Amino acid sequence: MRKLIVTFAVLLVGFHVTLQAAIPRNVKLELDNRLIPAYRTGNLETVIFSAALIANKISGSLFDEIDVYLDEHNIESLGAVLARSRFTLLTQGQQVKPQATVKELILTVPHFQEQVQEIIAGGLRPAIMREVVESPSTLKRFEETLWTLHIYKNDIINLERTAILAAQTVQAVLLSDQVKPVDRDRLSFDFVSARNQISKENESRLKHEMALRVARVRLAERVLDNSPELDQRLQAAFAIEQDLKIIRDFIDQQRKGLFLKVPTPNLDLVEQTFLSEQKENPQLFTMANQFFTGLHWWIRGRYGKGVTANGLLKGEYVKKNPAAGFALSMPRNRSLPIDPFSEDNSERSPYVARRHENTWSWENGGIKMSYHEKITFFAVSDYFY
Amino acid sequence: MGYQEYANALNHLAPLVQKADAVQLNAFNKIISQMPELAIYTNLSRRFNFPRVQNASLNPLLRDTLNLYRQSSLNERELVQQDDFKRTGIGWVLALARIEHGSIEIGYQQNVSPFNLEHLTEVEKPAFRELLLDGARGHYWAMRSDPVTHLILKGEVVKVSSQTALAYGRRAVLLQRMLETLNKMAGATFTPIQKKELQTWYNNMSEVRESVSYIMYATYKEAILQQGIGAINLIGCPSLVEGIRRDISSGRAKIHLN
Repeated sequence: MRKLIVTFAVLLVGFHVTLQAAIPRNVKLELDNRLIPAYRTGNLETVIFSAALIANKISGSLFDEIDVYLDEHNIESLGAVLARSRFTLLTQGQQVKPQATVKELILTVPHFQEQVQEIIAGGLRPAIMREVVESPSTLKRFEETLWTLHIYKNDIINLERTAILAAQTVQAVLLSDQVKPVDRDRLSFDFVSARNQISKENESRLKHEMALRVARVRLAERVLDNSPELDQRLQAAFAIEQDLKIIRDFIDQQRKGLFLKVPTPNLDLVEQTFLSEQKENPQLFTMANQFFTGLHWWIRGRYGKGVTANGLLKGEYVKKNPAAGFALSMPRNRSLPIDPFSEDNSERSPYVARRHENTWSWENGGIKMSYHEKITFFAVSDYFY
Repeated sequence: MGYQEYANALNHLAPLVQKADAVQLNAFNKIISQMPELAIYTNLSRRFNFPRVQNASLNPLLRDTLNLYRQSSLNERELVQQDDFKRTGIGWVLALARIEHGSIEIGYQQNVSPFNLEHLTEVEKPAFRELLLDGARGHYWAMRSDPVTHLILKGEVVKVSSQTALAYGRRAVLLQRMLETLNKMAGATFTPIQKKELQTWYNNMSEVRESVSYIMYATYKEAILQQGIGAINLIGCPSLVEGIRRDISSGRAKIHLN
């Protein structure tokens, strides 16, 4: 009996070891040494290179093994990582290499379909759009609620862009005649219908956002008329000014024929409120604008990422067109700093604790000289800061 | 990345804070305290204490750095017990923008006034001093423990490219500007021992810069001898390039090996 138990135990341990060792050593090294560090630091070019390498090398249940392994590191599935990284770079207008193969598309298209389904089914819909909830009662709560709508807006815009790009990529692969009939079915997806549904969701979001902004203007007016607290008054003044700009922009779009199904907010009321409050408190409005605009720029500097050098630099195009330097990539959710010494597995935020500790190493200089009129040493990088 | 953004942040916030009274500063701080994204973690240079690593597993260079780090008189102390070094307030917001913006300017721009001290607001002074000293510590200990720094100091022309040397030279310039600024704005707050250590760091960086000059000279010696340094277009950190030109012109671009 004892012998039997020992044998059984050995079998169990052996089986466990077999499961653990299911990921081939070279794939495991690729995951540990390249994919996971690149994912953690947001180096999307490397993530795509590494994930595509793995996706094209393995098959069958190994994908599940890798997804479990990634999950242990708090990382999404390989297909999700690959899809998200590819589409993020594509939406930034960057050339993404290597080209997606059929095998990779079979892995990533379902992830894209899931994302569309999630939006359509309301999985990402903010509470204010899902339930009958009371309007926020403080400026802080208004700001938080509007922020959730802002995130949702970005999700919808990105998904709409990726729908177009995904449709083009899949179409090109299907036309190439290199797809097996069984895979052809797996890649077929009605992108036109998906886009229409995404557009409807966006209209619903706009309806809620405009109503909230008008309500916030009313609350801000009450704060300015009644509250002596300077912090509250600053927030109220900035809210009125910001909401007026956004409502004006929206109505301009409606005049051009867009979003006609969304009820038009009462611009006159908002403009009147702004004009009368600004007349009463001119310095407060100037101060609020200066303060919150300054903080906004600071947050962009702290958490924003450029398109090259792992986000540390903007592209060379900024040299030719300084206005293009405005564009940068911000985290999806509200940015929160994480203690750089914390031992949890979360992604770093901001992605570099100090820019000056990293940027110095991006050499944009060099030496240029003509030697015997033929040889030229010239080394200047393509980067801008 | 960050240069334009922090410049805009400073342009909006610094004049506002300069004119603000106590009530207004309190209001700014109250709003900032409710915005967790504006908090800053400091004393980042304590990573050179290698808290998660066993001493024995360090290579000799890192072990040497660790020993020097532990003996240093300049390490930051906890403000309270179990200090998490998380700081918040308008002073910290301004100070971080100033150090990040100024560092890029020093490394890449001509004719700069390091960190724009003339526009330093009273409310950010203590935070700026802390961030500056922490930044200086971070750069110093990183260079001290980096094998490439030692290759540069030994004048290993074959192993260090001129591009790499220029980048390390930029870092040395940045650190020296940080130390000069610390001395200018807070020199009186340091003890004699601390001042001596800061001077040693400064001198170490001068050695790095001299070695960078040597590497540039040795790499392009033939061309420099034929055409003279004046005919050569050298591009890089402006202060560094100026130094290299001066060193080569005056024949000082040489190195003494110990």
